[in-house]
Amino acid sequence: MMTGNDAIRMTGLCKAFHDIPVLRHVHLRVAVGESIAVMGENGAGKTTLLRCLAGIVRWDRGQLWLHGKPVTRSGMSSRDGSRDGASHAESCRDIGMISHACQLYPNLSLCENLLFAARMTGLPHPRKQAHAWLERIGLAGQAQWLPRRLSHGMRRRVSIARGLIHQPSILFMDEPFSGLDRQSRQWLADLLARLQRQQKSICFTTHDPRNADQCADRVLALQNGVLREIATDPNSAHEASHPLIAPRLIA
Amino acid sequence: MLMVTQFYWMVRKDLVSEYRARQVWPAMLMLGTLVSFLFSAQLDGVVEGRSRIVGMLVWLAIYFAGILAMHRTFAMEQEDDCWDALRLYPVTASWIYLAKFTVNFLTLATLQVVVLGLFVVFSNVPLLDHPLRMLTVALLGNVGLTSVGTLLGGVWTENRQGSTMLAFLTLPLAAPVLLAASEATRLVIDQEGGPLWWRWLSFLVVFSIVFVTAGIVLFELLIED
Amino acid sequence: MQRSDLKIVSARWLTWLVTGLLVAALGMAMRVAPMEQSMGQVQRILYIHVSVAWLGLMGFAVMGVCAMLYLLHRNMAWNRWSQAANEVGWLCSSLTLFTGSIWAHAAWGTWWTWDPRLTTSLLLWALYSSCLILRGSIQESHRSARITSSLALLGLIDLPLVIMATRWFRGIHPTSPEMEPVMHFTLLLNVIGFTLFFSLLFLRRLRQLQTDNLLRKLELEALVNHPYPPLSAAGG
Repeated sequence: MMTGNDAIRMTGLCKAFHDIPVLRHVHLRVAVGESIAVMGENGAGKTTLLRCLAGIVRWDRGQLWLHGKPVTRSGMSSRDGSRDGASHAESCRDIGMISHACQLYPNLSLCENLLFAARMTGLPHPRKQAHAWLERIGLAGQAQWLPRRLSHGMRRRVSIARGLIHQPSILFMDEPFSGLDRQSRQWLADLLARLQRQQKSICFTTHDPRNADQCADRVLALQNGVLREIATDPNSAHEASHPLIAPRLIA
Repeated sequence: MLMVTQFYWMVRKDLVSEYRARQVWPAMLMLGTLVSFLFSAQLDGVVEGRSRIVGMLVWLAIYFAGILAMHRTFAMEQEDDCWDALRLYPVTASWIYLAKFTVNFLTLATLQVVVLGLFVVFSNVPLLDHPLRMLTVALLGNVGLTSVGTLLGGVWTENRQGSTMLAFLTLPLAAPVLLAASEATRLVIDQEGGPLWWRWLSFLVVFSIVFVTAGIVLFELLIED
Repeated sequence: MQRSDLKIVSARWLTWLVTGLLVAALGMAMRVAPMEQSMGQVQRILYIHVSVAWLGLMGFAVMGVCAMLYLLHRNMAWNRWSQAANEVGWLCSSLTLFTGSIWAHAAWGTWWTWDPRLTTSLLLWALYSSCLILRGSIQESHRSARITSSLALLGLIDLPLVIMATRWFRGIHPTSPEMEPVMHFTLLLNVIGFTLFFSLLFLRRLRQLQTDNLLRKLELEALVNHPYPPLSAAGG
């Protein structure tokens, strides 16, 4: 099967909660260096989709390849007992997941939080890496602060640094733009553009079509558990007849 | 090698967090102290069967105060969604279990020192006349309680109903350990040896081995995905 | 097993058949089987006691295995099996303690004693009860299923340890007393009668749970298709 060029390839993924299907046969291909945005209403299953892709949630049916390698961390693999610890570890190093929450330990300083992430992923020179990232997000002077002293936007930056510290090639971000002011949004958009230039594949969810347009090569909508493409060319003004986008643009 | 360093940093992170925030240890130790004090006060008039009662009370005090800490080790991961992040590091669930087990073991050991010391002072029973035997019972009882408590702590990470629910979950499973450890403690106080002592001891050993193994093998299966 | 496969358990003739068998077995126990010399009439409760005790253990095994299957597959169908086994097993376990207590009062002159076998039974009952209470106390069904299944599975590991431990201590609980052939036959009939009766109860409960699930699923699907009421209808 030709999966080598795709960073993510997912076929027929199904996931149900309470026997109610949330994802019904979702197909997705993301090329290396491509950025996609997933939109959808609250409860449409965007987060579930990302969590499935990252391998945190077991899915019911379907297959997933990351960089052409089948991902074994799912209900399927534990069923036949073929879960392979090594391949799981390997795929974890490829993945960066930045969730809706900031995922920072409240009693560890910013620097220690980043150090912990660096050490858990087995990076060489964790201290140097952590400080380099603090420089990069502009919080080098606050290295010894506890997360609660920071504003939401700053915490978000640290959480992004935490998710990126091991240089993953595939990045999942759940609502990265929510709750950020304009300046922070711009910073994040620039960061995403730079990551894309480094051939990272990015997959993020958002409610705002402007963010989706600005940062994604393709915009997909998740509706009734099915993923559809709604705008392929980010430069064209999306007349977007799609019901998810149209009313928001008028408003 | 990576696993060992990961294990070390996971344990260290928990201990450092607790050292800074002091969210559980003071409450746990205070609860242990108060319970020991109350139990011992009520023991004052008891002459007959004192060792039997002390054996049980020591372990009840350790169990109920210790459960607080066992609950906390996992609940803290839920706070800012850190649990998802931890699961995405290249580390298996078994190692997470072992790290949490170690933290809980150290916490419970501290509690045991305090509770046992207080019982010696307050209730005037020769708990420490055979320090080596008491140490063995304390260690095995600790491993038994911690293995079950850690396993279920990973299952019950909810902060809402707090540790009450965890105590409720753990008690039926840990009841054999509590009974065995109490009985062994009684034998230590009464300075009895013989086959009975070895039986209770071997039960504690078998229980610990089974549940630590169960934790390592099943943890992945039991935790939320 | 699907819901439709279980249609037979609601059949009236099956219910009558199984209940009839149970009544016949109980009749044997009460009237036909000879009276035991030393204990008199009270001894007859033993036929019920042995039957439900065995079913209590069986139920726990079923619950534990189904719980493990749920955890492996995360399929709510297995949780329904486990729940049905939990409820019926709890009933059997309670009946075991109850009948045993009556018997003990007549035989040993005390309602309860700390015999190893009794301790084990009580612990079994406690595990059953904990699982039962847990099922009711957690709202979110998947969380409830995961936590309850974990406890049931660990209980399944716990129980052999307890049984092993109690082997070391000599108890007073009779293991296999001498019995006349008629008594043997009566006991066998009772065990079969009770097993069939409680199996039927188990399957009917299972079907009930499946129906309940189907109903909730339909309700939810209706909700998904009509997420918001029109504003005018809301009275705004």
